[in-house]
Amino acid sequence: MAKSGKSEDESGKNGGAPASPPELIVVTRTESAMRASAGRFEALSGEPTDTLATILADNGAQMVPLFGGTEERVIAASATLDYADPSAAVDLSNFYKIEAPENKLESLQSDLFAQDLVDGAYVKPGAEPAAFLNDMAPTSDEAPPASPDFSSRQGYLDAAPGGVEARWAWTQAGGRGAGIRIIDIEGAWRFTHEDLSVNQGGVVGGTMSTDIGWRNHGTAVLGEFSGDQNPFGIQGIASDAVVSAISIFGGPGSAGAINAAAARLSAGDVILIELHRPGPRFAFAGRADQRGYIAVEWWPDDFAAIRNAANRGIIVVEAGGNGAENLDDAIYQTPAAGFPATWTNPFRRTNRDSGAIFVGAGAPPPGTHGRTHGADRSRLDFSNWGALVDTQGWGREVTTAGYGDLQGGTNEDLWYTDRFSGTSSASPIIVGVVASLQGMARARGVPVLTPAQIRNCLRTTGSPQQDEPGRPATQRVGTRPNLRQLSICAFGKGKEIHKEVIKEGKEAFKEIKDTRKEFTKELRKEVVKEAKEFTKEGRKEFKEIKEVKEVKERPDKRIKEKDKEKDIFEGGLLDGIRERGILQGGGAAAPGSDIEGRLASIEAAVESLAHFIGSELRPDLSSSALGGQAQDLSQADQYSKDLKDQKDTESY
Amino acid sequence: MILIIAEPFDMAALWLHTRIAESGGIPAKVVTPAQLSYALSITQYLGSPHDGIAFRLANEETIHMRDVAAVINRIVTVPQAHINQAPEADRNYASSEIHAFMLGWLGALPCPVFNPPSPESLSGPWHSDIAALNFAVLAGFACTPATLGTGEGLKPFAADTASVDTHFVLDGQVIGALLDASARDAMIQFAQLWGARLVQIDSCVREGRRHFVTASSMADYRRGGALLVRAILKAIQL
Repeated sequence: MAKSGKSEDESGKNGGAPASPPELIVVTRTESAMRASAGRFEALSGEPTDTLATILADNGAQMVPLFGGTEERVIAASATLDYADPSAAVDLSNFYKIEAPENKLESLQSDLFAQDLVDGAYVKPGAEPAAFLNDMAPTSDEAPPASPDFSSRQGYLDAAPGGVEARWAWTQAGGRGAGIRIIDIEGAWRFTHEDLSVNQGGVVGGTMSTDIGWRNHGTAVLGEFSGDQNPFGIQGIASDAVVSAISIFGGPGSAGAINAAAARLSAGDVILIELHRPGPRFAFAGRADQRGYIAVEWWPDDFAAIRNAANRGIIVVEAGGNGAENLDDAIYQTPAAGFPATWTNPFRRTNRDSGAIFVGAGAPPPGTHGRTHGADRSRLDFSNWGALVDTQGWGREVTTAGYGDLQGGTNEDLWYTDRFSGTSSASPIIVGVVASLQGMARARGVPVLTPAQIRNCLRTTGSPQQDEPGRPATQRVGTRPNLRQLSICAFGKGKEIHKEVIKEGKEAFKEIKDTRKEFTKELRKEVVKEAKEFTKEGRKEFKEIKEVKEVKERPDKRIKEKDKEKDIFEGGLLDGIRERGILQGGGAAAPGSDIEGRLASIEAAVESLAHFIGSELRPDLSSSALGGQAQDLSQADQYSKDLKDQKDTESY
Repeated sequence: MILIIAEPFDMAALWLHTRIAESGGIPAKVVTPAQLSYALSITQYLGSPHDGIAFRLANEETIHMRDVAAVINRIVTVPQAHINQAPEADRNYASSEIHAFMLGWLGALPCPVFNPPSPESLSGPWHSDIAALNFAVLAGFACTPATLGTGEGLKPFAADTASVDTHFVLDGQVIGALLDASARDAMIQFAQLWGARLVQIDSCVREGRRHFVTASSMADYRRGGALLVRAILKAIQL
């Protein structure tokens, strides 16, 4: 099925990096409980393993667990997880890597896939860094004694919409990613670079490739989020975060590297996958132009490793790939030869969701470094696109460490570039943004954000994607992040909003004060006038009463009693209810209002009695993942019963 | 279609429904016992097999049993709310009739049913604590000695919840964390004695021996995770 990625010769033509070796992955059936480690080769279910063992032996191959030393260790590692969503749990113990000569992988794949114990057997093409046209060569001029400050060329740090508001984030506590760990997964790095001297954890897995393409790539990636905070060179978005790296070379492969990274990190930390590989568009063949290359989560073992990391609360940022592909295309619905029967296309998240943050490449503002790649934030021609792409970063003109086209010379530790490109340059920007946000969370003493929360905030905020002829915004690569908006999404309205509210409140208070002053003045006038008239009338009545005293004594008494009754019905009872505190909210009628008004207030009081548990006191049952379904079923139950009752009543 | 018969509050069943739907293979539908009991009509053509039955639900939707590939049966009891409106003398009769119908219908379905009903419960075999303990001893589990007096029931084995392991036995296959051969055999043996196709068995290790804690025909699928879902789907395909 798969062919290796491009050869060293091909890679040399465009300055890219050679692909990692192809990998043969076997997935055994869960029920067979296969054990191929610690000197064992057996199925605990009792099924025979002789044929499988013979095939492997005949090809000089070995089958070893992909995600740990033994199956028991892999199972034990997953058992310690406390899944917020049990449905997302993945079983990693069935994945095996076949160690065999590269020329025997194809025939082994078909032989192994035919075995009863085996659910899937497929060859993954070699992974490559998601770099495109990163053919920059170092300038021949030697670097000056002290590197200049290049940070003004890092437009992606600037205010929105051109940048991601990193400079604002640095003014916030934790905004440089303090307390967060990041692991970059690819091939090689230059950890001795002059701008990568602080918070560097080095290579913690695999063996670095010696290829300079991989090394430049890794160094450029790290520079974007981890460049030291100093007066020279570049500045990383989250330079307080501690950065390490795992190489896919030397054994682990891509899925193994992702899993090794997850084992080292905790919830809230970040994994960056800077890889893509040839997809089905060109029959999994490696190409110099990287057309048809797709993100790694399409392959079952990589998906399982990413999902497992996301289950642990780790934020996995995944380069979307430079294949210029529509990932919603039906071609991705068809499994590759040897995929397990249960595989479904992860590019459609309604099928299944890896939990990763999927990154596309957008154009920087026109004129950046004197070059234009289309409308700001429009999809770059090489970037993959589709509904699952969550967000975009600069895919061109990224100033960072490595390559040497901005500052070159013979000392690789002093190299800088102005032109790092691809979903490779876009993804580290997102990593920096995520680490900054998580650092803010830590500094505020609130829980770090979950992968789902981060994704939701990235998808609902930011500077929107723009159209470009031939690359409309419907070819989704998402919005460019805006850290100011993200912090509001993550932590609610902050200080600035608070100030506005106070200002508005003060104005409203002044208005009320003025109105009250005028009203009191008017009222006083009215009261004085009425009092005068009342005194005048009172004197007149007193005179009349005096004259007919005998005649009017009894009817007067009756009238008073009648008024008392009237008071009970129209006002007194209501006042009594009010006194007991039953009438709440806007139910109380003003004394002296008409009958309709009083009736309305009584109705409101009765209404409030029917709902004596206020909505604010009721538990939110809708938050349960299955709450909605349960509610629908309950309603269906009630409806069925009511209908049955009605039917039976009619028949009586 | 996989038909899941469960109450609206049965979160384990709803979880299983979600997982089956996510698997993207065979579709699944949840129907409550009330929806079935209060169906507008239940039709069976004479001479047809039991999959010739059709339920026309209150919402006019019709479920033909010929379209059902498997049933996940979680009926604990038939709904009583409607029957309670009948004259008192008729209630027991009506309740027994609908129970008998459900028992007969579920028991005779030709497709896989997890679990088929049994005389003691519509949702599958049910055994008392003392019977379960007896099965566990027979199956080879280590069991804490229990005393049963006339005054009080059997005190359940008190195990620290954190140390309890959950396994499932489905058609003779053990699903869950790795066990040694003797524990695995005990699980399989226990499930045979219990008499259900799918049994959840909770156990724990104490002083190096696996102790029986409890068992149920009403499995909490969430504890079995993806492994159990996959095994169920596999069993249905067979």
